[in-house]
Amino acid sequence: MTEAAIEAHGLGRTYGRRGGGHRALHDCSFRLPAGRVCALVGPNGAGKSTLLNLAAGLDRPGAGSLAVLGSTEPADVRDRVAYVAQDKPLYPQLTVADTLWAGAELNPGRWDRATADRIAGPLPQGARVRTLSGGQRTRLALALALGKRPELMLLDEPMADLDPLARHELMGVLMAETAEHGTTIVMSSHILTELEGACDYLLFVDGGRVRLGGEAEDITSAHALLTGQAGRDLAPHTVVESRTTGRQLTALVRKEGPVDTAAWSVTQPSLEELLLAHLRSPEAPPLLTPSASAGVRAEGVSA
Amino acid sequence: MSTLTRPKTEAVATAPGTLRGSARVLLRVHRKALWAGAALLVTGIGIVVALRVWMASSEALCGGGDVTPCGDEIYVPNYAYTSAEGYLANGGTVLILLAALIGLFVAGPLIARELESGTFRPAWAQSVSPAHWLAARLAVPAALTVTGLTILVIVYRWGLWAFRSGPERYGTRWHSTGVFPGTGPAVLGYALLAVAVGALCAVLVRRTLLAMSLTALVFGAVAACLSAWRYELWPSSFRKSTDVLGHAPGDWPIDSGMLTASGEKLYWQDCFEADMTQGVEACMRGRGGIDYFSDYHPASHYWPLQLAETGILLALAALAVFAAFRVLRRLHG
Amino acid sequence: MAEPAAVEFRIDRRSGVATYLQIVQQTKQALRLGVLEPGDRLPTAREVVEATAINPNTVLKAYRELEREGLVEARRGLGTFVRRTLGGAAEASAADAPLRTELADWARRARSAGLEKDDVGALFTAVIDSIYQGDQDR
Repeated sequence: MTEAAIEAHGLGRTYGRRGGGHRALHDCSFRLPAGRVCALVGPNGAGKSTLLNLAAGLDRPGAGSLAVLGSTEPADVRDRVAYVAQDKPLYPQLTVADTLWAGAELNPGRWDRATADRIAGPLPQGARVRTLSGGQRTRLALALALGKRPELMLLDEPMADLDPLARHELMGVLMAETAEHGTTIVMSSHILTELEGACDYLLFVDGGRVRLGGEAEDITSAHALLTGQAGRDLAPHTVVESRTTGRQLTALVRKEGPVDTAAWSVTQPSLEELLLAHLRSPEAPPLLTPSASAGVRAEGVSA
Repeated sequence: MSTLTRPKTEAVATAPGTLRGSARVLLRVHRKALWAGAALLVTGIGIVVALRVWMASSEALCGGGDVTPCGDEIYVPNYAYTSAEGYLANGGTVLILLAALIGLFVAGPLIARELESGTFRPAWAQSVSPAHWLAARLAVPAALTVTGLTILVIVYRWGLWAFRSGPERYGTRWHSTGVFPGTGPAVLGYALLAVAVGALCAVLVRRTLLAMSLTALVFGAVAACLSAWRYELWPSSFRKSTDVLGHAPGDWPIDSGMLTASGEKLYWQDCFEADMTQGVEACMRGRGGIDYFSDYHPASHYWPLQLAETGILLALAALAVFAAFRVLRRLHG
Repeated sequence: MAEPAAVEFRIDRRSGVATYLQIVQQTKQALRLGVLEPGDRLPTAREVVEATAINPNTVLKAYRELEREGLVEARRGLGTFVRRTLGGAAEASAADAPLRTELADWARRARSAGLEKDDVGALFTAVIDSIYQGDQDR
């Protein structure tokens, strides 16, 4: 499990004119081990879609390098990668049945018809794509993505249009896929709770770079929420965020050694609290666990 | 217990398969356009057939005004023939416009709209590389257009064949601007150029309407230039005589005038402002003209001219295709 | 899979209990209640995640925990099977009996001291939390 599904070194991508362009990604480095279900989270405009576009081989990095499934040319492994873009683009004039047929045509030799048909089953087969609701389009796009039996699935905001029932069902389908085939899945969202429970890996992108990366469990356990008397020294821990209310000091810290439990009441922050704290504190240093650090052959923790 | 296993790459990716798949998907997506194209083809054939039938049914009406010689060399205009001539005199232009239409379709709905609306992503995110995606969008329209236009060229020539006997008709002379490009391979060159320019404009600007406008502009400019300088594409023949030179039927006159003793060419138009009381002839002679000359393309130059024009168009098309792939590769790998 | 799994798991995301622990606890509960018997097959990770939309590694972690405790065993290519049953409700309550009596006495004293039911609950939880605190990160 030490193989990397995605490995990025100093990745950069700027849109628009030179100089005055928008820096979507800047000096972005991380590593995603294969077989993980990764939540790619971050505020709107953080660079999530750009990153997925690059990994899918639809766009080229302006700087740095990106290896996908071991290939430094992501475009060369596109038959092993499935990508569902945020707006779920499909040919509007085709019917559902035609779209599935097109999936088979475009993936000669790898198409898993049974899986695609099962996922698209609840859709009206004769309906044109342009008449489908957002949720139905998502279902169809996921059917196309799963039908090609990818080793890496890149899903940009996959759950946004789905009702709770469909969300649960399709998330279950995705989890079953990774359970059975070890498929690596990257799901982006700006709502973490959508992905919590399903994802065991986290990439938190903000301002064009990865600020938190690694096993979700390791990231939360590396931090602590401390409550104690105001004025106490938080050293040696790295303070992500601290707040004083009256005589009480509440701080979210990255633990650097054992925490003095006599001085502090210690609780473990939820992933969501952790992300919010980092969003409010843009200057907090990034944290990448060994398995998420580019260029390091780290051992998978769950192995 | 089910364990996590690395997926095995069961099937080796079959690259040529995705090109075929791409083409088939393309045809299904643009089914309506395909029907429209077929309808245009049938309409084109229908018009020519209808004109031939019309001419044939009115041919026997000699005396009432037939085109065939009613004894001796007397030709009488006939409504069916003059009308058919009028229509067929623009056949080449119509075929070029058809080629342009294909180019616009390639530029707009086929490529730019996909880039604009993002539908290229599901295709590229399937196992289709951008190069295959573009190749399918070039090859399918090119193949269909070449087939369709070849049929129309044959039908058009068959339509013009009706005028093989009888007087030279000004509108349907082989070198006439409205005829020439539609009677040979040149129109296929125009079609391929339109497809290639359409693709290049589409990947360059990635906006449906803008790409279509740009394609129209570029293609129109090329067509206008070739039309204006077509006679230069092959060296013209030269003829001189001490008598005033007339034109044989089938000749394409380019220039004429007189030659001085030293062989210098004097053109008629240089003397048009001369004193008309003396006549142009006297003006020319006054300038030292001795012999008459004529630059012209004989009918035998038809094929060299057609092939030269086709060659230029194909070279431009190849350049555009190459550039289109380069642009796509630079942007998307 | 010819033979259907004997149980299914319910995951409550809002309970605050780690997901893998919920699976461990529910399995143990099923063993105690006799819903699961030796030889029964637990659902595969695929079956669990398809129904619950949780990460497969979570299921595997729970099953490893159960295996470590000797309750189940993984048979390669076949699935995870129950090895032995848990003490059973009767045995457990026999062991718990003295504790239960003491707790009942304590609760009665609390009520006569004028504490409301909620106060007693809060007090109990606070004490439990402080005593078991170290165990949570396991």
